[in-house]
Amino acid sequence: MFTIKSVYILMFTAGLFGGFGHCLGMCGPIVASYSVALKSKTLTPHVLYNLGRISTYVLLGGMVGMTGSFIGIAGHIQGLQRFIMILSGIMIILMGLGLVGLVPKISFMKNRGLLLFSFIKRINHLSSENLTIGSFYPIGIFLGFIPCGLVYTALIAAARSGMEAENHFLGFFEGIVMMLLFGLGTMPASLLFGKVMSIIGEKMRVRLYRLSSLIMIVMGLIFVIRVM
Amino acid sequence: MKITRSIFLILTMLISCSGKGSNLSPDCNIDAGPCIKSNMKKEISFGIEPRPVRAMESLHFRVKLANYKNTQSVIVDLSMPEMSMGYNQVPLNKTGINTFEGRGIIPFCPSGKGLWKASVIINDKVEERFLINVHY
Repeated sequence: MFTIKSVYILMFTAGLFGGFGHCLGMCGPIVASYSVALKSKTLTPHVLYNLGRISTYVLLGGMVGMTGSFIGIAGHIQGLQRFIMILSGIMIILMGLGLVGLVPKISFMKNRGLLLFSFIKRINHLSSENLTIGSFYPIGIFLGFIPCGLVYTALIAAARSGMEAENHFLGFFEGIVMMLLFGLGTMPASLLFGKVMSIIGEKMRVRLYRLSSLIMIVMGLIFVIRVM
Repeated sequence: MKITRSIFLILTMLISCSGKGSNLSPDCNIDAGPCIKSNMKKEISFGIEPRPVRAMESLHFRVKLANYKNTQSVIVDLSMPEMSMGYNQVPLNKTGINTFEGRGIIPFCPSGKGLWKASVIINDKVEERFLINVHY
């Protein structure tokens, strides 16, 4: 159907065009939520977040390429993906609350040793502009598991290439390359969106916080409801 | 200027979480059996098994052609009519006279929308499109 090279180009362009048309729909709220509160003016946090996300894609690409089976791998990680999506939704809601300073008001839990408080405190830490640059790579890895139709399609193509490969090692390599190209294709949209959100967030911090807080809470709820 | 920026931000964020609205609906019931479309004297029958058609399952695609000559290749291209979903094409093999079959997967879309477009490509040309509903 396709030559090897045309498949690589297709994977990159699928990521590039899908990034603007599709990824912003799923990852946009996440990128927006961390970008609005970001103090750093450089692209580094955005690049690290994206590299983390791509690392997950590459890992999954290697797995489906090696086994030549998308269903086998997807079936195993579906539960984990749902969990991550719910957790992301809750994170976005809490970050939304944190933006307008609502999270500290529930600090009555502080001395009760509740796990929930520790979690909320960490999330509040995220929204309090204290996030270190090094945190963005692991966040990207974690959120790379969020269920996404476009990523699934790319993984199906990677599995198909793996199935047609001469051996498991070549299939593994093929899956990695395909998902790497796909991930790199999605980067421009995510970087641009993140940077725009950072600039807007910086210029209109106070007014924006109230507004974006409300939007983030709604988005978080949508994330959770979608999985239910 | 500030108002413009605010509106831009709100719109961007709302578009991000809402997806596009549309009045599109399935033009055939793929769960009831193969869908048939004809154009002039040509006819394409498109079916998927097992039924009901579900996402994230290995699916068997079957295309039967009537009054098509010199068919070299048949491919089913799967996409969503409202959202870019990348390239998901299922190449079909000839399994009988004017019958082509192959296996593929329709991915799950977390947006919850199950409307998919299956385009039947014959000799590198899109001959027919079927809007089908896929269960998640």
